[in-house]
Amino acid sequence: MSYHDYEIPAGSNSNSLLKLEGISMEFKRKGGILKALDNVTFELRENEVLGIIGESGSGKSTVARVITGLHRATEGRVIFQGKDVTDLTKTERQRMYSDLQMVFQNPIKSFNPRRKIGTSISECLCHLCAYSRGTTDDKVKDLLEDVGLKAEYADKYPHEMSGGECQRAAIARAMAVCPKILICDEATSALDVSAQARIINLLMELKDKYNMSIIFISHDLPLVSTITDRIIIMDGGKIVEEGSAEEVICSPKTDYTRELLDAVL
Amino acid sequence: MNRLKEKNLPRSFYVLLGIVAVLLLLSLFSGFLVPHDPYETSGAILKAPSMEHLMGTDEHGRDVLSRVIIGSKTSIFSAFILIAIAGTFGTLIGLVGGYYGGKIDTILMRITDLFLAFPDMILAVAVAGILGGGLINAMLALFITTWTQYARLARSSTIAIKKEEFIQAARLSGCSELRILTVHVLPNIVGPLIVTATLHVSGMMIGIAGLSFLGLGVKVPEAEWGSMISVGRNYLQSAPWIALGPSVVMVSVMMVFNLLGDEIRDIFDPKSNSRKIEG
Repeated sequence: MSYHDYEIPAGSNSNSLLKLEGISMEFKRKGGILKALDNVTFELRENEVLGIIGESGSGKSTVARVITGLHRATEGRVIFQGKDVTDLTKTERQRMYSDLQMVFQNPIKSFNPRRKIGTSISECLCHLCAYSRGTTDDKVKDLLEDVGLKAEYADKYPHEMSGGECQRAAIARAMAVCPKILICDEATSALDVSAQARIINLLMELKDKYNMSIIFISHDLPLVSTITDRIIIMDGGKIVEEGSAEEVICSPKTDYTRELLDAVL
Repeated sequence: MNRLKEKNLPRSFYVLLGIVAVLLLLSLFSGFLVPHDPYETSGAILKAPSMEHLMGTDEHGRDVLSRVIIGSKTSIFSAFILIAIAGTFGTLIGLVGGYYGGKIDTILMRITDLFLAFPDMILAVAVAGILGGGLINAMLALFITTWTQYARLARSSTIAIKKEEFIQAARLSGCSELRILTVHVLPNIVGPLIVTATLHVSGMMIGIAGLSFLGLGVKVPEAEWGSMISVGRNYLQSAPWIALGPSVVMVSVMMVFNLLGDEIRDIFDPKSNSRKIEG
């Protein structure tokens, strides 16, 4: 199975951008098999913000890795823009990354400590947007300004920046390709509260400006509920609840969600 | 290189680098720099240091200073080349094993373990013994015992680095595996390897000296610091300068390499460098 066209079954939502079908994932560990994901199925529509909530070890980051192809699912399919992207060759996967990008939890560690921020961003431009080396300076500057950083930041090393600034730069790198989907894996968890709010605002601005969908993975239910259209609650590798932000917050169906809410409210 | 220029390197680094460069040049052109013929025997046996023989003469009446200078070619230059080759080879093995993991890693690391299972010097003696004496064979024997350390070090650093988020970010930036290995992994593990290598140069000098002492390294009339020290041992009470001359030079050279190793470590660690600039 490769990059073949996937026929959209009748009755499904036509503006579905990404679809996970029965994804299961197992890790071999000492003394047995760890089931990280168990039959995970959900859909992301165009221009939608989807929150995936769960505590540590609930499998929410594994979902991100399966979507991006950094991990291979044991079972199930990932369908992106109507195409099956579960098994892709390296070049096909590379092509996919120009529509799908990710922002990581630890902003400083998501940049190569030996390279300047500008170099890391231009790498993305060169490999995914057909820029040639040495012609990316202006574009890098634009991208940095887009996320509210001065152009001089291109010449800084990651450790010379604060966490919030670095996360902005990471968003700039992801935005370099104008992705259709941006996955934010705990993108604000390592930041202080005021920086969190600014990053969230920035993401929402960019979402409206570039018309993209965002998957927001977090353990912070109140934070996510303010920005997401829909929320998925995960526990032990399974989806335990799914619904609009309002539904989940105001009338939680499962005990687990209630516990999550009680923990913060 | 441009990146190195942009950083504010400490002056001590340039001084040490200069000294090492001079030492290497000295060892290369040692043949033209000796005040006396290092192999010529004269009647002046076991003479104490004087204006004519700055480090005295040995048991055959040869000038110790000349022998120390000519011996630098074997000692410094061979050790340097040996480390360069063993370091590069070991690093590549460790890098590939650590990065790809699985079967490749298992095979490469079991081979490494095989070499590590023997004590270094005993394995080197056995190999040099099988191959016969001579400098090249001694170097080959030391190579076999040395590369494993670099492979182990490179592997463990690679395993630590490959889990970092920036490697995943690089993959999402469309980097090929080769590019991730060379641009993102290698520069981040090379610091400790270079420090080990510079510190190892002195160890290799001792290794070559040790094999020469056992008659498996440099052949007899040829000058080499280690063998000169071991011969000088016999005259330690009557003519201490025979051992003292090469010992002092050897210790000084090792110290230079060790200090250079420390400086290089600081330079390769971007964080320690910025701390210096900030105050």
